[in-house]
Parts: sequence; structure tokens; C-alpha cells
Amino acid sequence: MSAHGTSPPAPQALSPTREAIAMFVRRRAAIAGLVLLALIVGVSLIGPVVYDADPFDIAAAPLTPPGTSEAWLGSDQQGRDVLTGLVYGGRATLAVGATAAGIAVLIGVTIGALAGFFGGIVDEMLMRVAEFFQVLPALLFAMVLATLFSPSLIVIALAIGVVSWPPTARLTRAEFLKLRELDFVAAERVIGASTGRILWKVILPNALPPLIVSATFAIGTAILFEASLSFLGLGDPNRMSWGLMIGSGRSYMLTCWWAVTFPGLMIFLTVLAISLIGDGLNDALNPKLRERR
Amino acid sequence: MAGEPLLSVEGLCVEFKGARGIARVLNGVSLSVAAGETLGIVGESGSGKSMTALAVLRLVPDPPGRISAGRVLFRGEDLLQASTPRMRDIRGNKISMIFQEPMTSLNPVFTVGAQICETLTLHLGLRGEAARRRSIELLKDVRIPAAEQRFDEYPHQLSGGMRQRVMIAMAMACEPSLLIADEPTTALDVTVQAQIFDLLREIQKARGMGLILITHDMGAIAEMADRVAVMYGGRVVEEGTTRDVLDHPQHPYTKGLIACVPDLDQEVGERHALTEIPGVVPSVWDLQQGCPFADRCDEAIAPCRTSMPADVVSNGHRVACWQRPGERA
Repeated sequence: MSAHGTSPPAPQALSPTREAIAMFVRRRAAIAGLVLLALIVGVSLIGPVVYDADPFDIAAAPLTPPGTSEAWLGSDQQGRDVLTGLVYGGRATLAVGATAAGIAVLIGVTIGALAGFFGGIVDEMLMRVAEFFQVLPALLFAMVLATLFSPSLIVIALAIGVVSWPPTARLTRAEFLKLRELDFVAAERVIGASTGRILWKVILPNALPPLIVSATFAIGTAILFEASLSFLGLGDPNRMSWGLMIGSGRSYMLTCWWAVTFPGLMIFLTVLAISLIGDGLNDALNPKLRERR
Repeated sequence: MAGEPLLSVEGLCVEFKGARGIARVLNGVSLSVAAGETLGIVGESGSGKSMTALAVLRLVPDPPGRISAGRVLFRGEDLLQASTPRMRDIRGNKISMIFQEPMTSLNPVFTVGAQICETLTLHLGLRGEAARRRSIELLKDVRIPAAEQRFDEYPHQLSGGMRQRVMIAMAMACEPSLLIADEPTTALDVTVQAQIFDLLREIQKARGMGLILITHDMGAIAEMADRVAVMYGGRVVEEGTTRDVLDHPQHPYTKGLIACVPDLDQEVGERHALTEIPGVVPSVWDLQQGCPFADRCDEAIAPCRTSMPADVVSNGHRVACWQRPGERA
């Protein structure tokens, strides 16, 4: 503060977003996660463009171990190249994961926001619906949905999204319950803002930090979900995915470890990267947690 | 009283539904404010001051609350009958309100400029550069130094007094004809309090705006208000010009409130224990028949516990107390 009676120089105006980014950048694990995820996404997106091959083609003798020139990471029981599978399988896995998480967040945020903001009977009814979905065995329910309809990527993403929104709805509801009582929401009413405006333009931006974190973790969960469905043979059989590779190689696991290990490793690394990013975002966006460290 | 009332509240009742039945939070509140006039509303916490303000703007949380009776006439229009869009148009445009806690009344994720612009966009359709220019003008009007710079700052970068100024700037954005200030200085220290009062007075004078000042601070009333209404248990128990009420309080509750103000002029050596009104404001669930103050009143007589006294008016000084039967009709 200046001692000369002039107004103190205003501290550098940092928006909450930029402050959070600065915080995030300082966390090494989070940056490592981001780099790892960028690599995986990059290979999955660009790989199939530059590396022209059909992952379902026979590329080598069945069960070729890794390290040979025709199949660097080996081939599975049908002679399909594992490396090609990894490069091509990422797209389906990541797309389904991101779409499913997007659907879950969209449903969860809408339902949670309405329940938390309006309370009363609206809250009661929406939360009973959420509980209904929560007590259903999610994997089983997703399996039913996936078998009822033709197992295309969209159907699988929808099935995963529809079963995994309740936690997001609960989190959103809690945030809205807390935020709707704050004075700036009352102040917003006083200036004559409509309910829709208060919901989505006033409260939602304040609720975003925990929601971003939860959405990040939701992607990780959705990827695991997709892998489980594909493993059980309920994925899209015409699209190579990491889950499908593990699923088809599972009976040869002991003689042909590479056909399941490498796609498993990819799923592990992807979910790990997303979790690291989620943790970093949590630290960056939640100032209370930040102080505890 | 000066001129036609800008706002007149007649027999306003607000009820809350709870586990223990229905509680009457406001019980027949009548008030009026003229343009250019300041009405002070005093009373302890829980006496219904803020609820009155919220009811005027039809912002009583519903459910569980409900405005059950009365009229709120703003320039002759009954706001309780107005449509929702009409109400939205009035809020922030014709009637504005500022709150007690400047720390929490601003949205932490937007710049103060964006928040002032919002009101301008909502009611006046100002956007972009026009909104920005007007906002900066408003910030200057409320004596915020380096307004251009402050425009792009976030609430957490401002002090409490600054934030209250921003709140006032927001409230003034559409030049409302009535401002309701709900304990605007309670969270601020005394020097800042004086500045905020000066500012409010100045704006009021310049614009001929009606002002309702809600406070529990008798000092603030003495300084700011032309007229004062004393509230207790959801009723206005005494109302009159500030001078009349402060100099010749009629209701025992008003007398108690005035006696509670510490006297800075007394000798430092001889300190007296501060006066207090025994007991606490009764819970809205425990209000029985009769005068709500009866249990804490040292002048209480038999009728106080059985029925509510009617208002007695003489020379514009209104009081509701069984002990003032003099001019009762």
C-alpha cells in the first residue's frame, strides 16, 4: 500500500480462470498427465491417418510374439497386429469415453441444478430418479441397453452416460443448494434477473470448479466402462477398441500375454493421465484444498 | 410527511409454513415513503425488518413463505398483484436494494464491471462500449478512485467499503426512484460507514430518490432518517418523525432501544453497565395473542397479554401500546 495518500496501485487483475491455470501449471504430476494424454490422443487421432492399415487384417502368423519385424508388439490368435490395433483402437475408446462423460455431465448438471435450485417437490422427485439409477447395477444396466440396441459407438456411449450421471447430479445439487442461499444470488434477483439467468449464468459459473474436476474423472470412468463392455463382447464388433482387443485375447492370455497386456496398458495409461489431470485441476480449482498442502 | 407517498405498504402479512404450523413473520405492517424522503426501520434481529423489504420486492422465499395479506402500492400500483415480468422490470429498475454483506453480495467469478453492465443490459439494453462507459461513470459517481481500472477487477480485490460502493453503483444503475438499504453499513467500520452514509445522502438529494434504511443502529437512524418505524415481532410498534420518536418515545420497546445506545459523552471514570432489554426476540413460532413485547416489557399490564393494541395516532406519531390510551378513540 502506498503511504502517500494516493490510491494504492491496484494489484494485477488475475481472473479466477487464469489464476487456476497458473496453479495447474505448477503441478508437475498434472503436467505429466497432460503430456501423456496429449500423446495418447495425438497418436489415436493422427496415427490411423499416417499409418494406413486395417487392424482386422491378418498381418503375421497367429500368436507371433513381440519383437519380430512383421509385428513389433506381436500378433493375436487371429494374426492381427497388436500395434495396429493399439493405434486404431484408441479412437473408439477415447470417443466413447469422452461422449459418455459428456452425456453423463449434461444430464447430471441439468438434473442436479434444477433439484438444488428449486428444492421442495422438484428436488424430491429428481433425486428419487437419481437414486433409481444409482441403485441399479450400472454395468448390468449398460449391458442391457447395449444388447437391446445395435452396439454402435453412440449406443454404447449413451448407455454409459445414462447409467453414470447420478454422482454428477448429486454434486451439482449440493453446489446449487449451497450457492443459491448466497447474497449475490439474492442481489441478482433484486436487479430483476430471470430464474434461467440466475441458474445458468450466475450460479453455474460458481459451481464449475468441482464440476470440471468431476467431469474429468467421469471420462476416466467412462473409458473403463467402455473397456468392460467391449471385454464382455458388447462393444461395437466392427470398430477396433482396446477393450475389444482384451476381450478377444482373453482366452489366450497365458500363451499370448502381449495381445491383452498392451491394450490393457494403454487403458491404464489413459486413465492414469486423466486422473493426474483431474487431481491437478482439483488443486487448482479448489483453493481450500490448496491451502492444506 | 412530504408529498404523495412513493411507496405505501398497507397491512402486509407474511406467513411461513414450517414443521410447527404456520408462523406469521409479518403481521399487518403499514409504512410509507415519499420521494426524497428517508424512512428508517429499526428493530432487533428477527423483528421483520428485512422480511418487509423482501416482501416489497416480492422476494419472500416461496415456499415456505407466502405474502398472505396486504397491499404494496408503488406509485399507486399494487405490486402484490403485478405479473412476474412486471416485477422483474421493477426490480433493479424502479426499486433497488443493497444488502448488509458487501463481501458476499458480489458474484466472485465476474469482474465488478461485468456485474454493473449486467443491470444496464437487463433494463436499459446498453451493451458493449456504451455499457462500459456508463458503468465507469457510475463507479465515479460512488467515488471509486481509478474507476477505469476497478472496472476490470474482481470483487476479492476490493475492500469492504469499496464493494459496498460497487453495490450502490449497481443499485443506482437505472436511477431507481426507491432504494432499500438493508443494513448497508453493519459489516463496515465506522469511518467507512460515515462515508457510505454521506454518499447515500448525496445521491438521494441529487435524484430525489426515496430511501428505506433498515438498521438496528439508533445512531444511524438519528443521522439519516426523516421518519422512523420501529418494528417488533413482525409489527410496526411505533412510527413518526425521527425527532419525535427519538425525543419522545412512546412505546416501551422504543425507549428500551434508545436506552441501549452507549453514551460516549459520559465521564470515562464513572462507567455504567450498558442498559439492555431483558430477554430475546420471541421466536415467530412462539408469538401468542396480545402484544409480542409483553413478556419483555416492564410496563406490561393485563390487556397486553390478551389482545394487540390498536394504533394510536397523534400529529403523525403512531404507536401501538396499551399504556398509551390517552388519545384512543
